[in-house]
Amino acid sequence: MSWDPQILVFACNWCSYGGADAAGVSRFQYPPDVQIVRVMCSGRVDPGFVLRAFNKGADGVLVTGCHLGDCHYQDGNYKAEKRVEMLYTLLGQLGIQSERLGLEWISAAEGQRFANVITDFVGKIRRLGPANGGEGP
Amino acid sequence: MMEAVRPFDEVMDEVAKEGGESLSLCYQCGLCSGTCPWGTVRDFNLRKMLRMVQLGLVEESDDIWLCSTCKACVDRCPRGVELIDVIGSMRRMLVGGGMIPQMQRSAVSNMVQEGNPWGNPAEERMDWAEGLDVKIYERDMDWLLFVGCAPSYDPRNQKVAKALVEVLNKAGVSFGVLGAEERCCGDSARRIGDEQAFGTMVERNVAKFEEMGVERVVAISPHTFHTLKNDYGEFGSELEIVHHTQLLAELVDEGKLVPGRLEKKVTYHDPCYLGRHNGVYEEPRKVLESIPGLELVEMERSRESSLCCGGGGGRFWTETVAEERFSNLRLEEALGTGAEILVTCCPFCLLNFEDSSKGIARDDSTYILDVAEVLVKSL
Amino acid sequence: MSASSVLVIGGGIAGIQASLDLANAGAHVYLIEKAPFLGGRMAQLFKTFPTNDCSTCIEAPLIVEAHRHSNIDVLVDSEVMTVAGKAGDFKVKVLKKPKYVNDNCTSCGDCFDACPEAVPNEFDVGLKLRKAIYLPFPQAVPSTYTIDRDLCLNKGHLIACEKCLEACEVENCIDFEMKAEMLDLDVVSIIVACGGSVLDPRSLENYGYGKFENVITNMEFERLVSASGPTEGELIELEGMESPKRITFVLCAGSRDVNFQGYCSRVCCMNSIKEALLAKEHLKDVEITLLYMDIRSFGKGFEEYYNRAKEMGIKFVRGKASDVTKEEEHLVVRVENTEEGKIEDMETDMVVLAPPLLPAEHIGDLAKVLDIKLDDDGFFKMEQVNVLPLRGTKEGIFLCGVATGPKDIADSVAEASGAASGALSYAEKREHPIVDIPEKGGEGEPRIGVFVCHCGNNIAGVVDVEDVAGYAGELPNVVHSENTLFACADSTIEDIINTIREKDLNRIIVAACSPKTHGDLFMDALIEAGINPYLFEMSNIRNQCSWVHADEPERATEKSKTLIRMSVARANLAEPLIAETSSVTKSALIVGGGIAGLTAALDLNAQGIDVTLIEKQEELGGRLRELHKLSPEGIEASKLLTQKMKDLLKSNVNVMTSATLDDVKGYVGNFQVTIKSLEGVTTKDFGPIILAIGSDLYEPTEFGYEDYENVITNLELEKMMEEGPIEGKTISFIQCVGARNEEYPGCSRYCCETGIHQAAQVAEDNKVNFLYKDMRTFGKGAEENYKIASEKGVRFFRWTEQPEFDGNEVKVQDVFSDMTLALPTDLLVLSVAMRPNQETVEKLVEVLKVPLSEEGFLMEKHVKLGPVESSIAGVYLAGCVSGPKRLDESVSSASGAAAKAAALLSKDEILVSPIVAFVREDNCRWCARCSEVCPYSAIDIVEIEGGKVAWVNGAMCTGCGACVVECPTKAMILKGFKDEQIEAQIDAMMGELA
Repeated sequence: MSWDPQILVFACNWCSYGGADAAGVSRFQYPPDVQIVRVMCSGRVDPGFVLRAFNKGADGVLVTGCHLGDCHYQDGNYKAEKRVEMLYTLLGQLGIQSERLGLEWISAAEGQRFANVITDFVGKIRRLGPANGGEGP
Repeated sequence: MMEAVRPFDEVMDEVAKEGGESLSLCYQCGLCSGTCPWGTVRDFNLRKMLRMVQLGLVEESDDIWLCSTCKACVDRCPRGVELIDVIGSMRRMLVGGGMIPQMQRSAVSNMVQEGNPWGNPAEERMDWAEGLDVKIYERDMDWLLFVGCAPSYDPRNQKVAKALVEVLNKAGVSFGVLGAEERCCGDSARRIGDEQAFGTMVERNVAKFEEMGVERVVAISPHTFHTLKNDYGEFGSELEIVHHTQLLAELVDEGKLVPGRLEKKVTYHDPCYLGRHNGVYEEPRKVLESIPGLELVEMERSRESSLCCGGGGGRFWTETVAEERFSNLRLEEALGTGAEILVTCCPFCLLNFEDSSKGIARDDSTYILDVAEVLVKSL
Repeated sequence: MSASSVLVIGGGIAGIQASLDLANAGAHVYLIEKAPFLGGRMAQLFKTFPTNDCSTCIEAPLIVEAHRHSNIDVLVDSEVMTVAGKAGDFKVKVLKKPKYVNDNCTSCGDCFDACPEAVPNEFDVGLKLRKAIYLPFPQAVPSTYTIDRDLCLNKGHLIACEKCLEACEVENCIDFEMKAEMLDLDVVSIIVACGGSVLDPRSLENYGYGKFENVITNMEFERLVSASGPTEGELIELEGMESPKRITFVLCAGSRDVNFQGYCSRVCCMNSIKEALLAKEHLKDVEITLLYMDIRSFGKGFEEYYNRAKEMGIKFVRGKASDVTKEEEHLVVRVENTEEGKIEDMETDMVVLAPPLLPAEHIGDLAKVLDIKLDDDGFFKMEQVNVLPLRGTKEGIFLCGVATGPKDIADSVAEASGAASGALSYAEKREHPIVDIPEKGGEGEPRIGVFVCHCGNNIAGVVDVEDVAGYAGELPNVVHSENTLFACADSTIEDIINTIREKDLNRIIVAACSPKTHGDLFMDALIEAGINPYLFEMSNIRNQCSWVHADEPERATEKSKTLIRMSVARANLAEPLIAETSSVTKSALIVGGGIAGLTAALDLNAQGIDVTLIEKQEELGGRLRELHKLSPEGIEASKLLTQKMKDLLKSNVNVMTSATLDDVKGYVGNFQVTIKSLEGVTTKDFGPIILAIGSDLYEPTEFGYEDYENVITNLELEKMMEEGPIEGKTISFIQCVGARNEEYPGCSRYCCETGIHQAAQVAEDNKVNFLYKDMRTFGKGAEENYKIASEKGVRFFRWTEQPEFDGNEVKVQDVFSDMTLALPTDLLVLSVAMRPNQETVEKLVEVLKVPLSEEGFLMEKHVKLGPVESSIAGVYLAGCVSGPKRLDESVSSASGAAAKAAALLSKDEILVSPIVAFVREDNCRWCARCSEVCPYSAIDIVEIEGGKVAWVNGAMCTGCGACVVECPTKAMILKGFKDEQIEAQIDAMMGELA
């Protein structure tokens, strides 16, 4: 494959970032096509960030956080969920396949799950091809 | 799950009564199976056999009679199971129930009748000493030399008795024998599990010792040494017992025995009943090392890890198929050291090695010797 | 220093942890270590089970913290000579041996190269040579070299060897005239953390150690696979120097053995499994076999680790090896596979023995000096093995770690904190170092320093760190870039501090592990260098890169560059942040009045702390009320509980029974807790909260528990035994009910030992069958009790297939006889697993947001190094709340939690995180959306000239950032996570860097 997707992952400090670390500790391998940006809470993820990423040429964006009900800040992940839902609609209107945006809940103990989620998402983005329709940026 | 079997608890109760209570400690680690020499020559699993005893589900087989009581397993058992006592208790139960194999039965019966397991005439017991300076024991003598059945009757072992007597005389030791009055020490009876026969032999011997005023005994066979030292006390006997190599070591130490030069490379085999059973490892070596020109090389498995010749536990009186003889393996180990002489100090070991060596071509007919014989050679 | 001083004997992980807990609570510590370095045995390990964390990585920050802590005086090369006095007033004489090298040492190593005298080194268990002048290992703290004067040729004669002095380029560094010092210390209490030694494997004659070079021990294996070891991590045979194709581990090599040590050495099963996994990592095709009697994988995550090893193809053969011999080209291990009944002579290339831990060398001398007793195994004797496991037999002296018996790092650490708690009760005077957080760094252009870490081989083995450092050096604003072996090492921290000062750096990026691992350490370094600690970024190129892209080194290298580029983007927009301070409510809440809660309460009370204990039941005591006699000594549970209750009555702990936790608001140091009790609803303020809610027991559905009258649980048996003797029955015990299965794979830890103890009791007058999967009797006295139970006639049956019960007979496939057995049974006892206290846990998750581990117990901060802390600051864990524990383990962890709480309470104010929301008033229109979404009610309206604006209460804000997203005018920002910063990160990820 001459094209490698560029995928942005938001991970929350308490859960999914911990899960990513746990994946590392247990050496659960996943594709290197993702870059993780740490935020304190998935509720910090402004829809503007997602749009900016796609605007700059990202092929996929994955928002991750704590399982519903477990958010370290009470209900930040519920907010994230609503915002992502709104984004699915918006992306469609902007001509970006909504499947390029993902939302997953991963706890700090779920190293294997983190690796699986990333692997699946990368696979999905690869199947969709480059976001701008061409050969990649 | 398959058809299930109920364990027979009564068996363990009996085993415990007969002195095998330590079997309940066994946590089935399998160390004994790996240690037991029988596992190297046939498909024998010591741990599993004991498991079946724990469950009371023992099947008829000759497995219980295989043990030569070499004690390698007991020394290593991490739980402190006295395997020999457990097997002994099983044998006692079988003997009590009349289920004793033929060869062992004969050996014991001969022992009681004629005073030796071969059944040779008792009157002929002293014949080996004809023409030799061997006195009958008298009260004021230092030592009673307990010759034993093999040195008395077996031609090969008679040479050992003769060699020992020569050495003791040379050293000016005051000793005597019981002569034709001597009877088997009974060791084999106990190992086979016939406590009644054993008791008979012991009582007879203890009475004789008392009658003769015996206080100190030197034995040729480690088996005699062992039983006189460890078992006879149960029957009220209070004797000071040494093995012949211990007395020889003392004589060398005291300068009463001055070995001459003997330029030979030798290796020494620790008999189970001298070594593991009674902790006597150094005296035979001291004697050998006192001989100028003698080079002693150790086998890989020496002292506590010495490989049994297969003669203990009453097995000497049974037939062991050639492929299953431990002495064959041991002889190979001895040959592997490059030694010219394999030295030991037990009549069973001696005969077993002689037997094993029959299949091997060698030029020196004196390949296997007793410590006493080596000393004689040097004098 | 006006604070009370405590003596800690032993500078291994336990001693270090105890010292930190004492120091963080404001006490002063003398940390005495007889070796030239801190770290003990843990420093020699490569990885730790069950997380496979790099041992040095997790220990180093604690070592460095202890070394740097102004409340801790570290004395290496030192030994305690005499102790006089009594609790509260001990007079100790310590002999400090000279290093003959002073603090000017730069650890350059020139002297080492010059020294002519070499000897096998202790750190690598003799596998490598050291010189007379040496540093035990590169990351040793202190990093000053030492001269072993016994080996040194310079004996003070006229013509002496001074090659080291000649080679040393530092002026006034090596000083042969240094003298030993005898120090007189006044301390209020003493903690013994002296660790242990290891059985000399040469005594295991049938295993051939010393005869055959390729027979090695666990520790030698650790050194071989360590990147800092004699072969730089290459796993090779000592004879032949090739990679082994087959490795055989021999467990219980000298333990559980009447001929050596009768006890279980507790750590070797897991240690060996870990090493087997490491071997598989190093050599993909290597065949590994472990020879065992019982696999003791009893701790949190241990069973899953064991399962993983099996899945990776590591073979487990149940049998105790009898002999190791040598053929021409390989070794042979003789063992019976007792599950198959076959005796095998296994060919192998390397044999790794697992010999037991023994009492520390010269422990008898130390016992005499301290005037405390040793137990039957020669370890320090605990005052009472169940509820006073951390007390020595003399008042004022506390014990922890391997000093009292073999145990792993997690248990040692929990005990160390617990011992600190005990020692603190004598420390009346406390003093905290004043920490000044610098504000400097925000002026002028960013001047970025990048430090790319090798992490030994962990990063450098995959990522081309030199390339990455080179790349970073070319990025805008980066004025310094280097790569380093271990960024967290003491010497590297010094290096970073110096570089900051020399090059006037005002932004630091460390590309290494996770910020959660060492973030605090690096931030402290910035503080020491005089710049604001929030001008710091970490690029996670290990956990989130090299470790997870191990087969794609090129892409991992590129990814590392991208991650650093993203960090640079963030750093460019970082600002100094000043933490707010918050007061600490000087009152502790303990939730749960069982033995753990009671222990924690009494510990804190002994320090004069105000404690409230709430218990949901009417009576205190928890499960201890339902127990009859306790393993291993058979002490009556009621007796111990009565004693605790007496102590409680004498104390001023506020006890509320029939009281439950209703809600918790606030944050560390300032919790507002609502309690529901018979008196109604009350709200009280607390500083720390200790959760000691215990556990439930599994309600079995198997074995006809619900149908047959004669099937009971082990707890019900306790009650029966308490009510009266049981006689004339046949009782069968079945272990692992509700544990070690598909749904709940973990081991429940307490049940083998308890089951054995129960079996031995009823065996007096009953026939007893004991059906087990693995026998896990690892606690003090437990293995001995297993033997006693055997002596009493308990019959043991090992099973792999679940047994069956029809009301009359237990049917079991007996592994050892390979027969299906029917065991007539009058009473079937099921040893049931512990389960989380479902209802209470749900409540805790609701009000505290505590994370849970896989089986639903509360998750600790770090399973090895943070066993008594939750990931919520100020909330600590005591007892079975975090997983199944034996009684003394609950007690130790409770004392450990008390120590953490005490540290918090010893401070008048704590620093609150400055990562909070902030209003740029010029942009604010007070639409109030921020205030509406804030879950913490931290946003208020304030009047300013010109109108109303929002205002954030920094102490109540938790930094979630929800308000920032909601703000339509971008008036709200989140300090440390500004929109601009995140946007810059996104741009940088896509290749744009301003």
